[in-house]
Amino acid sequence: MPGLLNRPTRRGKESRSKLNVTPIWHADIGDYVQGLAWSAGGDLAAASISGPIVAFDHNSDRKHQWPGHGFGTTAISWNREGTRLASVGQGQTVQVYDGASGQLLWEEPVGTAWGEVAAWSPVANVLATAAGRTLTLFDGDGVLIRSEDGHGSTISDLAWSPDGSAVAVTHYGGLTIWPVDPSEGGQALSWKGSSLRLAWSPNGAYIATGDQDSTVHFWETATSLDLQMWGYPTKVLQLAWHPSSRYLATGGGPSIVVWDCGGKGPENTTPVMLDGNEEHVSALAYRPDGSLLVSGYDDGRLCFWNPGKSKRPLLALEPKPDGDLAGISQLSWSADGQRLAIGHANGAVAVVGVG
Amino acid sequence: MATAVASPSDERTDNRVPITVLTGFLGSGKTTLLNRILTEQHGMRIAVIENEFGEVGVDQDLVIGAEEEIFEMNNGCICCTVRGDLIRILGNLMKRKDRFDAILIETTGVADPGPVVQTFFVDDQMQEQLRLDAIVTLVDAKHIGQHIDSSSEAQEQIAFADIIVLNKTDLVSERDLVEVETRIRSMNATAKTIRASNAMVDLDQVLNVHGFSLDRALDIDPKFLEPEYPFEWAGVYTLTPGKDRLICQHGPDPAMRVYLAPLRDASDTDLEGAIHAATLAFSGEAETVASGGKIPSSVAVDLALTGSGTMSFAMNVSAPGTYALFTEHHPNEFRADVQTVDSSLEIIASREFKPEHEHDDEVTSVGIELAGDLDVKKLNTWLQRLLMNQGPDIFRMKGVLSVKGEDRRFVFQGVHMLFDGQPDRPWGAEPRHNKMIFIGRNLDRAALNEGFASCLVS
Repeated sequence: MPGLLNRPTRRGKESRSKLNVTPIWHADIGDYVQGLAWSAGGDLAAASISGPIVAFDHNSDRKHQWPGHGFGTTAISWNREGTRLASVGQGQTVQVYDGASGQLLWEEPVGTAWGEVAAWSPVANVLATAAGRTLTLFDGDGVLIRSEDGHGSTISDLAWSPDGSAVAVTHYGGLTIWPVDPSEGGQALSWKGSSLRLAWSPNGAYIATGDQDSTVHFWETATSLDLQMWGYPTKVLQLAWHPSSRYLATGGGPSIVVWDCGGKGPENTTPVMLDGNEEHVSALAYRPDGSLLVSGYDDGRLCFWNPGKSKRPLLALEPKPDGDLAGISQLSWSADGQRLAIGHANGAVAVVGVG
Repeated sequence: MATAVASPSDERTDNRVPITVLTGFLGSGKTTLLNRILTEQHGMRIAVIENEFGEVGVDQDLVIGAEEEIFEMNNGCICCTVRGDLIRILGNLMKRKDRFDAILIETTGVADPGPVVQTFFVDDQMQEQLRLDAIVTLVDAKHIGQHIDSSSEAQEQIAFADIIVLNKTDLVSERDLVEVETRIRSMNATAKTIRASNAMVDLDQVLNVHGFSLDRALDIDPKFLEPEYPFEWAGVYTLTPGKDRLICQHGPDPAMRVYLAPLRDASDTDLEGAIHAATLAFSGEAETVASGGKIPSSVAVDLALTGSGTMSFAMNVSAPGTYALFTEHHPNEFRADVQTVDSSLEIIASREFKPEHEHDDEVTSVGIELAGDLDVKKLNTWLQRLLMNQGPDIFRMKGVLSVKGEDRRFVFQGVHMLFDGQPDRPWGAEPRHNKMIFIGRNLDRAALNEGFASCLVS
C-alpha cells in the first residue's frame, strides 16, 4: 500500500523543526487522482482520471461514490458552503451533486465533449465551466447566466476573481476576463503564446499564468500590464499564491521558484529558488494561514517549506520504499489548515495531520 | 533557436508509447487504413486522435476527435510551434492506468506535419512519455499528380514521411506508378515506399518502424547517394551504318538531348566510360536536329520534337558495332524506339539514371557522402548558420558522421531547427566516412556539398 514515510532529510538542521506530520488515513480511488477538494464541512472529494468520484467523510468513510463522466473526469469543485459538488469531464455535461444526500441535483451541457474546468464562485452559488472554447456560467440551480464561445482556442484554465465578480479564462493568445453580469462585455488581455494555468492573487491585483513556452506571466489587473518571467526549464503547470498575495510559488522544473510581489512588484526581481529534489515539482499549495508551503514531486517526495525563513525544507517525506513510488498529482489543504490531502498518480489518496 | 534535444533512443529499453502520425490528402485512404488498423485482430490497445471527428470507442480502442490548434510561441521561433490539442489530449491519456500500446494521430489533408512532429521534441512531458515512431504518408497514386506541384502541404507531407503508402495502385498503370515513385524518391530519398490498393498494408510496415530512432538514422538507400545525371536513360544497341533510326512521338517536352557513344563491348566498365563522356557532352552547347536529320556519334544533339505524328532521326554511325544511346528523358515519355528498317532493334542492355532536378523551388533530398574526419567546431558553426537561415525549409535531416577524436560513429537527425545526436557504436574495421541527408525546399546542392566539405579537418 502506498504511503508516506517520515524520514529526516539529509541536512540535519531541518529535522529539528517542530513541524509534526502524522498520517491519518489513506485510500485508493483506482486511477490517477485528477481532482482533490475539501468541502467547507471537512469532506474530501477525489476524482480519478478515468471517471469515478469519491467523497470521503471526516473519518475516511466513503460517503458517496459517483460514476463521474463517460470517458473520465477532469475537474471537481465544491461550492462555498460545501453543499454541492460540481464535476466536468469527457461527457458533454457538468454534473452537480448534493453533498449530503449524494443525489444528482442537475446536469447541463457545457458546449463540447471535453469539459476541462469547473469552479464555483468563492462568494456565491455561481458555477463556471470551461469546455473547448466555451465558458459557461450557471446559477446554483443550473440556470444559464452567461455563455461565451468566442475564444479562438480551447480554454485551458479558468479562475474566479477573489470578489466573485468575474471569471478569467486562459487560451492560446492570452486571457479574457468575463464579468458575471452578462450585460457587461469581456476584457481581452492579449499575448502571443499559450497559457496553461492561471491563478488570481487573493487581493485581486494580479493574474498569474503558467505557460507552454516555459514562462510565467503576471498581469496587473488594474493596468493590464503584462510582466513575463522566463528561465524555467519546462512549461509551468503549478501556481500557488500566498494568502497575503505577496508571494507566488511556481513549479516548471525541479526547483520551486517564489516571486515576491510586494513593493513595486515582481518585475526585475530575483526570485527565491527552493531546491528539494532532482525530480520535477508536480504540485504546490500554501497552507491557508500562509505558514507553510507544501510541494509534491514526480517521484512521490513531499516537502514542507517556510520560504520566508529558510531555503531548505522544514521536512521532507519520502514515499515508502516498499510502496508504489507514484508521483504526487494533487495537494489540497483543509479549510482549517490542519489536514493535508495528497493525491497520487496511481490513485492513492493520503490524508495527513499537520501540527 | 537551434536546440539539441536529448532523447532515449535505445529501442530495446525505450518503453515509451509509440506515436504514429498519419498524413495524406483527403481521399488518399487514411480513413480506410485507420479502420483497418482498428478492426484488425492485432491484440494491441490503440488510441486514435482524429481532427474533426466524434468520439467513438471500437472495442477496447478509442477514437478521439480534436480540432487542430497550433500554438506559435512569442519568440517567433518556428521550431517551437506545437499542437496544443495534442498536448492536452495526450497529456490526459498518459495519466491513465490503462495504457495504450500505440497511439495514432490522423491529421487533416492540409495539415502541416511540422508542428505535429515538434510537439514530441519540444514538450518535455510529451517527450518523456511518448516516442514519435514514424510519419506515415498516404499518397493517392492516381491523383497525386494533381497536387504534387501546386500544393506545398502535399510536398511537405511527402518530405516529412518515414513511410509512404502509395495507395490505389490498382487504378494506375505500372508505368505511371514508376513515375510517381521516381518523383517521390527525388523529393524524399529516405522514406520507404509501400505499394497498396485499398490501403491494404501489413501493420508491421506502418507501426513500430522506429523512423525517428537514431539507431536507424542512416538506414538510407545507398542508391540515393548516387550522383545525379543530366540524362535519365541509356540503352545499348548493335548498330549498322545507314540502317537504323530513332523513332519518337510527340511528348511532354519540345526537345530532348541525346548522345550516341561507341562502345568496345556491352560490359559495365565500358558503359561507365561512356557515362563520363556523355555527362561532359550533355553539359555543353548542342545543335538542334529536326525530324529527318541525323544523330552523330560522340556529339550531343537536341532533337526537336515539336512536330505531330512520328518523327525519325537516322543513327549516323560510320562503322558497325556496339553503341550506347543516352537520352535526356525516359524513352517512354516520347514512345522512343530504335528501329532497323521497320522492326524494333533489340536493346542489349539499358540503365536508368537519377535525373537532376529541374525546379529549384521544389522539395528535394540532398545526400552527401564524404571521406575524412570532421572538425566538430566547424561542423557546429556551419550547421547552426545553416539552420538559422534555412531551418524552416529543412524538413528532415539525418547523418552518420566521423568526428575527429571520436572513436564512435556520431549519429544524428533533426526536424527543422531541432536536432538530436549522439555517438553510437565504434567504427571498428569499417572505414570512417560521413553520410548526411537533407530533405527540404530550395536546397542548394552545391552550397550544401561545399559547406559540409569545409567542415573536414584540413
